This record gives sequence, C-alpha cells and structure tokens, in this order.
Amino acid sequence: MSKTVLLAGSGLRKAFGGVQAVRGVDFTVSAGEVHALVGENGAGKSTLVKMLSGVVEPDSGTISWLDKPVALRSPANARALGIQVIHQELELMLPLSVAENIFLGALPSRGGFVNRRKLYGKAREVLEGLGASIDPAMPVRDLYIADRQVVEIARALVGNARVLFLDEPTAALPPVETQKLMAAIGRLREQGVGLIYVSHKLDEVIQIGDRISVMRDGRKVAELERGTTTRESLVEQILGRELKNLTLEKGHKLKDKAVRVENLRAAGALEGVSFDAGKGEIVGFFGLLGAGQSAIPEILFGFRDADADAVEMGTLNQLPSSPAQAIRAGLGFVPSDRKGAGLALNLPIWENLLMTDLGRVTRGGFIRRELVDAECNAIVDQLDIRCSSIDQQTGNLSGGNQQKIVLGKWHHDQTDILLLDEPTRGVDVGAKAEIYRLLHAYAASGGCCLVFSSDAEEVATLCNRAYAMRHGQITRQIDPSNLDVPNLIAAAL
Amino acid sequence: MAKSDQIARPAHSKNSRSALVREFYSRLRASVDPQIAGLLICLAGLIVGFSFSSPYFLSLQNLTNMLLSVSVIGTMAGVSALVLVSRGLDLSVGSIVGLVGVVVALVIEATSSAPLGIAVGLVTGGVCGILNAALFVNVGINSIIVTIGTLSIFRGLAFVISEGQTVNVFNEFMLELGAGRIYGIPYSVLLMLVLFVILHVVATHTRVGRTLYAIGANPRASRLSGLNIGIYRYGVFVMNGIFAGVAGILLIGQAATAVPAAGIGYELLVVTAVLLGGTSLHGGEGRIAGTLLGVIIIGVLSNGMTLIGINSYYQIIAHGTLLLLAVALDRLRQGLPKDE
Repeated sequence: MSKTVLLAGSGLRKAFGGVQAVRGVDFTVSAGEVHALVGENGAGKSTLVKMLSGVVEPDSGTISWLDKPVALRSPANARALGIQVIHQELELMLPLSVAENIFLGALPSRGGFVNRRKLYGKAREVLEGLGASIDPAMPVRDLYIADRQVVEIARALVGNARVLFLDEPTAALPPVETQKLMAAIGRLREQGVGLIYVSHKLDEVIQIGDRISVMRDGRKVAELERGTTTRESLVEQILGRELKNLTLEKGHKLKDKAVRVENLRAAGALEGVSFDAGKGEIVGFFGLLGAGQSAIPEILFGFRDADADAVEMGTLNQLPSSPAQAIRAGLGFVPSDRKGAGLALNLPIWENLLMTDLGRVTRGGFIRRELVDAECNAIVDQLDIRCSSIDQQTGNLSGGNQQKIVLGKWHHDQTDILLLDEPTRGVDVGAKAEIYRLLHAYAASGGCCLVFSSDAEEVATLCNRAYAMRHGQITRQIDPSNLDVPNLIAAAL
Repeated sequence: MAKSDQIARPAHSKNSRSALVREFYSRLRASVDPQIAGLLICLAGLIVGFSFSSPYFLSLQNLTNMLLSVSVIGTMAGVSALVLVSRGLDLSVGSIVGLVGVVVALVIEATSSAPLGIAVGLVTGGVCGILNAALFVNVGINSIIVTIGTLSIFRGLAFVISEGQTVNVFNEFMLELGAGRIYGIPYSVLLMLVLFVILHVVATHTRVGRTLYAIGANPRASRLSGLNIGIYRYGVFVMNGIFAGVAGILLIGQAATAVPAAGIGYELLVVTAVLLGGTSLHGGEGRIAGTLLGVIIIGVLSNGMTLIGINSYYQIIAHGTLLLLAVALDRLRQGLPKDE
C-alpha cells in the first residue's frame, strides 16, 4: 500500500511482573486504513494498544510517528501528536449536551459566554461528516450507545485525531446500531484517519478491516489483507488450534414443560408476550436493542413489575415479587452487567460462588471453612474456572472466568431454570465456547435455559429454539430447523 | 498494598532460634495483615513518643484511664464499622448518645429504677436506628444525608426533653456501672473489649457478617443473589442505634450527670476510628480488630497531648486531621488519583 504510514511500532516488548505480555510485535497503521486487531483476552492486544497510545512505555522496541521515532510518555503526549483511544467504557458527560461533549475544553465563546449557535452549528458539521444525524442539543444520556460512540469519535476528531484506537466499540451494540457505527468508520477512513479496530466480533472484523492482525500469547501470529481469510480460519489462528463443538447438536426431545407464560405485559416494554420452555431445552429470545427481550428476565426474576394471564415456572404459578422468591422457586439469573449486577469484584471467589446460598456452608450461624472448600473446589473443577485458589480476589480474573463464576453461583441442585441475559458479552472466543458447553451440559441434565440476547449468532449457535422479538412483541417462533442468523435478524427487523 | 506488606514482615531471619519460635513467626506473618501491622507500628510510635515526653504516660493507671476515656466511642465503633462495611454511614450516633443519656437519667429520676431506665434507653436507641433505616431503606435517601438530618433531630430532642438542663444521676447501680472495676479494669472498658471480640467473630465467621460484606461490595449483585438487603440494613442501623444507646448509658454512669450536649462530635471520632481501622468508604472491606486499634490510637493521641500540656482546642484540630489522614489512607489503598 502506498498510503502514508502514520504510526508504527517495531519490536515492541512489554513485561508485567515477569510475565511477558507482548513479545516483539511490529504494527503499523496508515492514513485511510482500518487495521483490525484480534486475539483472545490475554493475548497482548490491550498492552499493545497501551504502548501505542502512551499509557505504558515499552521495555524495548521503537515507536515512530510519520517515520520519525517518538517516545510516547503519556496519553496526553500521544494525544498532542494526534493519537486517541475510544474506550470500551465511554468517557462522556451524560447530563451535558452532545455539542458540549464534543467541544469539551474548547467551547466557542466570547467574553466568557458560550456562543450556543456556533457551538451547535460546528457540532452538527462534525457529526454530519460522520454520516450521523444527532441533535447537538440533546443530552448524551438520551442517546443510543452507538450514537454515544459517534459523539466520542467526533470529540476525538475535533481534537485533531489522526489515529484512532477503537476498543471493542460494538460489544454493547445490537446489529442495526453496529451498522451505523460501521458507516461512521467508513467516513473516517475516507477522511484519511488511521483506525485500529480491536474486537472479538470476527464478522465485523472481516467486514471492516483492510488488514487484520491476529495476536496470540504476546506475539503477532498473522497479518492478513482484506478478503484473504474466513471466519473459521481466523478462529483457528486466534486459538492456535481447531475449535471443536462450537456448533452443538440441536437434537432435543421435548419433555416436561418447565416454563409457561401467557400474555406477559409490562408498561413500555412488553405488549402481551407468551412463551414456553421445556426441561432440557435452551430457548433463545432474540431482539435488537429496545425490542423488550431484556425486560423478560427482570420480570421472571422478580425485580420488575408486570402482569400475566398465566404463569407456570418452577414451583410458582404467579410472577415472583422478589429475587429471593424466584430463587426459592428454582430460578437462577445471569445478568448482562457482570460487574455491576453479577459479582462483588473485591470479594474472594468463594464468597461470590456462595452468595446465592451461604446457608449450605453454615452451621449454627457460623461459616464452616471445610464445607466452603468442598463446595467451591467442586464448582471450580466442574466449571474449569482458572484461579490460584478460591480465596483469590474475583476482580483479578479474566472476563471469561468471571462469567463462569456468575454461572457457578447457580451451580447447585436447587436451580431448575436459568435465565441468561447476554451471557457472553465481553467474553473471548475460547471462553465463549466453554460457556456454551457448560450450558448444554446443564440442559442435558434436565435444566432449562432461557437466553436473552441481541447477538443473533449466539442465539443461533446456542439455542434449541428461539423467539424473535420486536417492539415488545414476539414476531416469530423459530423452530430448530430454521434457526440461523438471517432468519433471526429478518424476524427481528 | 505492596509497601505495607513489607512492613508487616517481622525481621526474624537473622539467627536460627528454636524451630518453635520460627514456626510462631511464620504463623504471625501469615495471619497479620498489612493494615493491622501498619496501625500497630503507628500506635507503637505514638506510645514511644509520649512515654519520652511524659514519665507518667506509661503508668498502668494512665493507660487504664486512656482506655476508659475511649470506651464510650469504642462501644459504638465496632457496630459502626459493620454499617460502613455494608455501604452505609451513621453520623447520628453522637446525638443518640446525648438523647439516650437524658432519657435514661429522667426515667431513673422519676422511677428510681435503673433497669427500667436502661431498658427505655436501649429502646430509644433502637427506635432512632429504625428511623434512620426507614429513611435510608424505604425512602431511599443516602444514609449520610439521613443521619445528618437525624443528628440534628435527636440532638434537638435531647434538649427539648431535658429542657436544656443537666440531670444528675444519683442511682447506685448507674454510678457503679460507670466507675466500678473488676481486677482494676473498668466495666466500660471490659464491655468494649468483649463487644469487639464478639463483633470480630461475627464479621469474619458468620453468615450474617459475610452477608454484610457482600451487600457492601455489590448491593445489586447481592439482591439478585436473593439476599434481602433491606432486612440487613435495618438490622445494622438498629444495632448501631442500640449500641449508641449503650454508649450513652455508660457515659452518664461515668459522668454521674446527663447533659443534653453530651456526645457532640463523637460521630467524627467513631468514623475516624472505623476508617483508620481499614474499612473502606466504598463498602465490602473492613476489619473489626483494626477499628479497635483506631479507637486506641485516638485515645493515646488525646491522652498524650493532654499529658504534655497541649491545649484542648488543638486536640479538636488533631481529631479532624486524623479523620482526613484516615480517609487519605483509604484513598491510597485504592491507588493514587490517576492522570486523566
């Protein structure tokens, strides 16, 4: 390619406390190029990004900007050159307007008074340049996530960014919004910005990446030009082995009903939804953001009010009024927000695993350490949670292992029905496959899973049967023979 | 953490003493956590410093007096640590001390019955706790704001009920409770120490205790794990009110009078002790043993400053400084503020 190389790193190495995170990586990004970066969690992607954006200094190797060697000592230093990172956790001021966010620190003003007309005008200009029609006066809080990301990108552009790192920008996005973001990225490419696109979502990477670099164990194991790879070969390169059993057998014998709900209604979210699920079955609920599917587990688990004509669920024949009641009836819930709602990150693993039922290791009010050890080590073994001991702080584990702990909270005999909201969000390919296997094993032993997801691929891979949703209603029930991504998306659009 | 880790390690490897001693040290190293070790070192520093400045400081009598002087806040601090662990904060305890003191003294004055007075006092403390909990749990107001409000309400009630007057306590039982000793140890001090031992066991080894930690570490995850957060929050605030009542009862026993202004500023001393003890402002972390050390540090500092003749006004400044120091330490444990 004859394009100008903006940012280049060569022979980059970095170790943290004796662990080599990155072992000699060359990486470049040119003007008007999208360079995708993929790899499992812990492969060294984020360390590489941190070195190239001034967050950490490499142990060895050189970084050059426009062919001149530079030392990036801090993020501010990198930003001054034109290198910016759009983080997974967006850094926007939610109550402030779109325009104020974009021009933060450089508000057009005269004599100390903000010139609103000019502010909104300039903001609209930048946003239209990204192909987005967002009202500059709107508070960021009221925007969809994809639009928030566009605002953050706009802010970077106003700050004269020439190289943008996008870290998992679509992790929380439904397909339609993903396409909006892809369009904005396309505009950026046309404007000559160099983009580094870090993602677990391989279909997107193949769609958007001009080049794709694959990292594994701190090394770059492949650099592929657009159109020279497939999803399957990417997965193999990421894992360094063939991926077995990601697609699981769908053969399922209908047994007893585990869940039956008729005409479920919740103001502003659900308009009369009826569904059922059998023991040993994994049933998916697929819909785009705002389709209402994420309200269902909240209602079934007793922390959101709703009405229904008939309910049969575990030992309940009405909707539960609290999570405690739902749990007694045999339900378990894996929330989408792992850090906020699933785990207490600063507590050890065992306290998280037993949070749902500390009673089974308690005798006379006192916690018995030998019971804790027996219970938790069994769960850790069965779910293959990788940790040094059950006393390790939960926050120190990888995303995939953390998610297994959330599953482990329900890994006891009392849980007959498991509600899973976006069960593999932010989890890497390898851990995702393991979680799918665990859920299938759970179903095979007679458990019932309801999976609520805006990831069509996940529903198609994981579930035996699915409901597609739109505007708070079920648009179609998709039986096993028709369960694939195009059918799901077609039914949800 | 890394720094204090080094402090915690006793220098023991210089010569080979008996295996028993080595075993003792290695157990010590495994069981003493850095926070506690840091507090012990800090305390040792204060004690050495003051004992050089005043020969009287290290006398048994003075040390007993020092413990007696912090027994009132010490009685409250252990439960208050659990309140903070579960992500609440109770700033009304100082006012409850004053209110309960006045209530108990008036009941005893009217009925001459110490048991009745004490019972009414404990109920009063419990009702204060219920009010705090109701506003926090049911109305959903931030507990700091709730208890700033009730701090003023309870204090005002103390003045209203006593009509602003001091009530003398002549009851034998109450005076014995305040001044009596067993083997030279004042009852108040004994009560405080026993309470700390019980609370330490509750916090570390019981289902109730660990549930409070889980709730503080992540309330939402706890609720979704089926825990009834509201009941635990009620429990911990009511206990805190009751033990503030106990503190108020001990105080009028020690002083032989009940003053409506008693206990002003105690909430700050309690919070300081709790934070010094390593309880995080963000909940889910905290040590009862550390809180006891925090209480003792406050006592040593006040006592030592008095002995070497520092004006008590300066001691008020010292208390504030100590509180900020404790919060700064909490901050440092989370990591210094990063360059944005």
